[in-house]
Amino acid sequence: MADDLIPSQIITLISIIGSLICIYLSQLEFGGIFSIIATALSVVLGTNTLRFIGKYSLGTGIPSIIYMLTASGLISFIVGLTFSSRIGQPILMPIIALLAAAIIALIISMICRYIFKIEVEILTASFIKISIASMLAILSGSTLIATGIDTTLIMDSVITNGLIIFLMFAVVMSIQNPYNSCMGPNEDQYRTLFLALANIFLFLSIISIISSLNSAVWYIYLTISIIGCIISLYKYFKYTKMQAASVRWYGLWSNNDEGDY
Amino acid sequence: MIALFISIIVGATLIGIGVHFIPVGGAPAALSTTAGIPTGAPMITIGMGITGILVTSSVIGQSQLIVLLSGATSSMIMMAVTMLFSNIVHVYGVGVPISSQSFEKDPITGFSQENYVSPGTTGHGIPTVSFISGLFGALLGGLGGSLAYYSIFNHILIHSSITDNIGTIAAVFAVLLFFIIAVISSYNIGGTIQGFYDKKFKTKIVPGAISCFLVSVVLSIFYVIILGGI
Amino acid sequence: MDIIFNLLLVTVMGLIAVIAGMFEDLESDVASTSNPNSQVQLAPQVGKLHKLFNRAVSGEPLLVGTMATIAGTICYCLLTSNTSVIFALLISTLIATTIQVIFSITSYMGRITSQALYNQPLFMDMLIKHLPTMAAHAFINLFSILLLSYIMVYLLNPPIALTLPITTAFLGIALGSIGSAVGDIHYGAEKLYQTFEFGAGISVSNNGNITTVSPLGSRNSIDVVEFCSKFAGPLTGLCFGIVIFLSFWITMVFGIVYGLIVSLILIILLVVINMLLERKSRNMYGEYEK
Repeated sequence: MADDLIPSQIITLISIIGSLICIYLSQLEFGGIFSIIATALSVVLGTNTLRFIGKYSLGTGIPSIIYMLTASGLISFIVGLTFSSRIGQPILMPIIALLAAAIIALIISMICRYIFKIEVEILTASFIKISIASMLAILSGSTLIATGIDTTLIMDSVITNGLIIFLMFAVVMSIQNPYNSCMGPNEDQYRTLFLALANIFLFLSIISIISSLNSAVWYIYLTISIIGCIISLYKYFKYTKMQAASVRWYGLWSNNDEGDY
Repeated sequence: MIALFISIIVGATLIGIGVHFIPVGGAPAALSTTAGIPTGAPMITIGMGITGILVTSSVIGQSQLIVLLSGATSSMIMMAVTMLFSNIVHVYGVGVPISSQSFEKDPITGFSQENYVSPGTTGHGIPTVSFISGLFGALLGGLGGSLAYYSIFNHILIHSSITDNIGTIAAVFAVLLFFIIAVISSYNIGGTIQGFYDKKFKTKIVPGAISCFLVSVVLSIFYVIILGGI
Repeated sequence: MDIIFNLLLVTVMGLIAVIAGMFEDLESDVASTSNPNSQVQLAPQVGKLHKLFNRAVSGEPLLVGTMATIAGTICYCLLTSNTSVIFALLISTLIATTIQVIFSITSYMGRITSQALYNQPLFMDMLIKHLPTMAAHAFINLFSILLLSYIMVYLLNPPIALTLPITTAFLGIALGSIGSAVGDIHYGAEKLYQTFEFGAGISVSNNGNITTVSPLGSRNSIDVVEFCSKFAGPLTGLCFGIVIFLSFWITMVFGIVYGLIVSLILIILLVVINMLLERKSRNMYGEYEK
């Protein structure tokens, strides 16, 4: 694996703080734009963390790490939603959800380390980061559908009609797919992260279509998502063509040393 | 509230124990290199549990015992049909006799295993004892999933103001339990297992049950917070 | 009258499920998705360069579940805003298929590029050749799942207590896990290792040593579909069809309480059939020579 051009600490810091700020800003008019930024930032954090923990074999496939932690992220998101409206401080919702996600991931990683004896140093930190990232991504996707962080609106327009399962799958897919598809000896940070961006923008375009149920300007969000998707795909294709052994449009593989072909 | 708390703990722990009973072979089983169901433990568990919840949601108005049993039996049917068809592909598509090296003799059919395992592999297909173990796992998983579904459904029905789509909310919460518990159990199993007659089973079941219990306590606390405020 | 209508619906559901299962498994063969794909990924490392499609989007249940959920979600939104049913079903399946195609392109390019160390070239003509076949299979599969969920949620009486997105997600995951548990064996253990003798599991020492040439030129994944469509694909479809059919048929015909007894008898019957199959396989093939 080539050396990383962006250190993971910087990505973590920028993603968590940036997502939180953007989630609060989604209350504004045209706030869906901030929701889109927040979703993209948190997915980048998730994928970048997976690039490190995915190298260790934990006993079952790479996607399983992500859907377990996204499920806990989803639970903590709903905890934040219901608990904050219960104590009458709906504005604290993202913070409570963040704490809950960290707690669940911490307990799961403790069990992995002390009961299953999985000796991986970065396990705890990675689980917490991925759990928080998936929670933030689901939360910002919900703010795009519900046009803001109003708790009752999110409850009605995202959770009770079951759309939440789509958000969960979208986040699982866009966090785990880039690393799963780019895994290998020649894996590269830029290529993987641009694929993550392309995936989440692809899903954001679907989320924008769904947001037509609540928002009148959904086509603006749809346009932004599609443009974002095309730009990231273009970058991804560029890096792929640069890093592949050779790109061929016809023919067979080259003669190798054994002389089969 | 206490009833909800306890039934989620019981349901989630049952799911976690059930995962250990299912004979899984992972990717090597898809090449007939090991015995077991050729997919990851969490995937087949989630698929089995989801079939149970799907049927449970169509009989949800009945008494508790009937709802639980319908969830369990439909999970068992899904598991039985899947394992049978998996064996049919092994026998007629790949041409291997069904056998496993993780035990010497099948205690139910009395078939000896060793000589029927092709060289360089550790077995193929799902022998009868693993088949029955898988059914037992499906029974526990289906029971746990439908118990969680039923208790969440009833709690929302009685204690909250929501009247529409109660089944959907309950189903999401029940499935999330599967997503988390099944993966944790499969981390404990760590690769392949051939059901309760496998030598590996005895060393794995106790830490698996303890950890599933711990996780389910944490999850139930969060679920009680959620469902108390919904 | 109501019960006859319901029985008819359940029969139709079983048929649609057969189609869904069949095409799901064949789609996973043409685009090489699930567990056997580990061998295609391993092949360049052991010196076997190939022209097989190689896609690692995720496990099969997650992939089918996600795509079915996309279709179900869009369909739900369109139905909420009073679009006609046929149009909603078609347009949502089309969007989901498009997304699956984009995922296939990026995943194919990603894994091959990461294997540049072993000189595996990135064949762009593979995309042009395989994507239409893959998309056609995916479209039929996703449309069948969506139609099945639509019948369950809106037409069945009494309907299941779930909304459309959740139902499609559930059916997609269940179908994916069945597809990877049943159909993939034929692809992984037989077609990928066709040069090895029929009637044995793949020894660990042979892992990655897959067949990469056909009688004329290189093997491609469309050959794989042709092979698997003769046995594993229809069998996967039958398996999913039986699961869906039995889940609803038993309670509908025998009532809920007697249905439980019938289910138990059925499960015992399946155990016995499996036991007979095991005995038959042993008598048919005999012991291995050391």
